Amino acid sequence: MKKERVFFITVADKPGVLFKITNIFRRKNFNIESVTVGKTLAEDESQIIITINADEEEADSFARMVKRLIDVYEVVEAPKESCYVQELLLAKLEGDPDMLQKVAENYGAQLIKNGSLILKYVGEPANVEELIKELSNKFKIIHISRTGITAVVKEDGKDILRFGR
Amino acid sequence: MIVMASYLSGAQALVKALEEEKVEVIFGIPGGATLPFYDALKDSNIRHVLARHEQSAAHMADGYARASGKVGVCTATSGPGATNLLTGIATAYLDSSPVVALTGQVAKSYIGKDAFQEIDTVGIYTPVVKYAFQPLSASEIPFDVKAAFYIASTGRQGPVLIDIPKDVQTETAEIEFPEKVEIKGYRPYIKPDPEAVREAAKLIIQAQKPVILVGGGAVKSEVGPLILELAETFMIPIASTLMGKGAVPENHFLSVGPIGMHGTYHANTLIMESDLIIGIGVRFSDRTTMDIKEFTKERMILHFDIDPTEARKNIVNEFPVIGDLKESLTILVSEIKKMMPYMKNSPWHKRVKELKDYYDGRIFGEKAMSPLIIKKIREILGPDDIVTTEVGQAQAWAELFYKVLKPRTFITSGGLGTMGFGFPAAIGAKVAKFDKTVVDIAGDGSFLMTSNSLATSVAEGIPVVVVILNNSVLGMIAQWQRIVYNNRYIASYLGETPNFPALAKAYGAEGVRVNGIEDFVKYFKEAVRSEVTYVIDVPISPEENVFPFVPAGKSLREMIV
Ligand SMILES: Cc1ncc(C[n+]2csc(CCOP(=O)(O)OP(=O)(O)O)c2C)c(N)n1
Repeated sequence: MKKERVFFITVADKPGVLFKITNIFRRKNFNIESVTVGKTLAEDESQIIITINADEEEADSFARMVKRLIDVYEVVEAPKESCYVQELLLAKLEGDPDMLQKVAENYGAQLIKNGSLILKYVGEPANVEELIKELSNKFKIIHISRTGITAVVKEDGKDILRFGR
Repeated sequence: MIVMASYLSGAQALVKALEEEKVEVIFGIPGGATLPFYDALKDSNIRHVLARHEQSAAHMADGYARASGKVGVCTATSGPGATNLLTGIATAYLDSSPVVALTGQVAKSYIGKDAFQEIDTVGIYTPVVKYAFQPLSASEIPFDVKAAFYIASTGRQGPVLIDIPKDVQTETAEIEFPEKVEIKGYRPYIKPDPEAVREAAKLIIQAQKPVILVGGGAVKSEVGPLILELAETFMIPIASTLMGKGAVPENHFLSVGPIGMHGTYHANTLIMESDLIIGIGVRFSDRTTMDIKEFTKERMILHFDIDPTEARKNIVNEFPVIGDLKESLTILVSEIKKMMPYMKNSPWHKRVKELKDYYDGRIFGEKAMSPLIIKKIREILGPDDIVTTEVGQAQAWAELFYKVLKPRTFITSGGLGTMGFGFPAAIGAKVAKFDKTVVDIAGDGSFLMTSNSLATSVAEGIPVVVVILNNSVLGMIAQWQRIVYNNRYIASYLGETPNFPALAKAYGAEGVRVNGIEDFVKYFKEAVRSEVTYVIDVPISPEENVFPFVPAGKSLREMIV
């Protein structure tokens, strides 16, 4: 069944690795919905988190192709509902600061005033969407930046696919 | 650990590193971006074979690798040299052949500026190599070379690229040569889980109608004797994929030949009647299994392979045993021997024998000439002589009728199906095994794609035999147009040009057009003894069909004969 799936890919921290991985998704004509990259605890490793909409068979095939790359140490794939998923939003806005403050409090977001008004919010992607909608109704959005999702697999997560070291 | 340090240019370091790997020969064509490398090569004992097109250089290195089991090395300059080489590297990749490709690159400061003959070689090659290196300083070269050879030749083998900017070749430095390299995350050796092997043994014992299916992995890991032991203790017939030909001698009483789109009638039939397939070093590709649903229905599939990403890749409900084949099979054989019942007179063995007796070597279709030629080639060549093939009907005929007796003596482009592969691959194989006869079984269309390698074979003194099954058409295309597209021929007629013997002679090779089987035998025997490359042009009817033929999308049961 097609659903959002999260790939946790532990890789060598060197040039070209992200290209090799995204190129595999390109090969099968998949749109990457989100990709984030960050260091891991190990000195020379990074973790790439990629979200795509795929069925089980496609996910399996991706995991294999990605794991075959020598610079890839580990691939874990989990359906989104098996993960704890968060995203960071930064929104640069124009409008009434007090009204903005209220919206911020409603969402548990933070309002930063450093010359411009910046709303900082961390939450589930669905909530990020909702917040953006509300902001665009009530304020003038100058620029928004979203990080894409970061996630960890839940302890009781189901249907996890793992190609280990 | 460091063995030595010396003050060298990058190009000298490259040559020295290649010498450390015991490279005997490099196939290539020089260019601006590789001139420093060539200059350093002049001071080395490594032989250089000058190709006439980089694609052929890559096929030569590939043929050398497949015949010898060693790593083949090829080289090309930046830009057009690298793009020409690409088809050959992709061919090696799909057949898991250990080749190291050295390409020149423009100087670092020119990269990304669309400089003369600059292309993103690493970017283009990445999807078709096991790994790509681009050393950015001379001192990185020894590590990259050692790592490239290590990666190319271990685990599931494959080509590796080293793309070297020109200024990295010319800069000098105190350069250290590592004795060993370690590549994080790369663990080519996998020990099989003995528990899984025991489980597999149980499945084999329980099976009533098992078939062994050997692939290219079984050829490369040289597990033929173990497979025979397994087969003989349990009287299991042995089928192969196209790439698996020669893993076990095809004249063995249990061998039934290849399965697949152009498999033998009895092998395809037996596979579809079996209740267990024991896959060894295979990847269950679409050309082998054909309709995968039918292939997997009503039978268990055991899968021995070194590559963990192959487990359950094409067959979801198979039972995989991942690990070094030699080790897996050693355990398997000893387990089987402990529990095995001798099955010689089982109904299954009778069935195998009955089908094999009737269909082995049988020619379907009217008056086909090609199979007779191929059978003659087999009769005349020795067991260690080597056959390469082009792609198309000639390849399928060779698959069906050339019985391979030793591993590494049948060399074909199975995965990519590259026309033009066979002839340069034959030249590479001949360099590896100079005392053996090497024969390219070719179609006229394919041979024309790389026939300029005649110049290489003559100039460098590398004599091979080319047998052109000359049907004046792109035969396999014509066959499909005849059978699948209702005789609607288009763009498959080549005509009676060129005059192949004259073409061969123009290059200083020998060439002859033969008339009938006896004539062929006479000239083929002469060609085998010839000290110069010999092209034998065999006229074949343009209407000849290769049968059996399983049309795309059909199951192995639905053979057209
Ligand atoms: C480089 C390349 N181009 C095109 C094809 C498609 N193709 C497959 S078989 C074939 C015909 C081959 O003709 P020929 O070499 O004369 O051999 P025959 O089938 O007649 O034996 C073609 C064009 C291919 N496999 N490789």
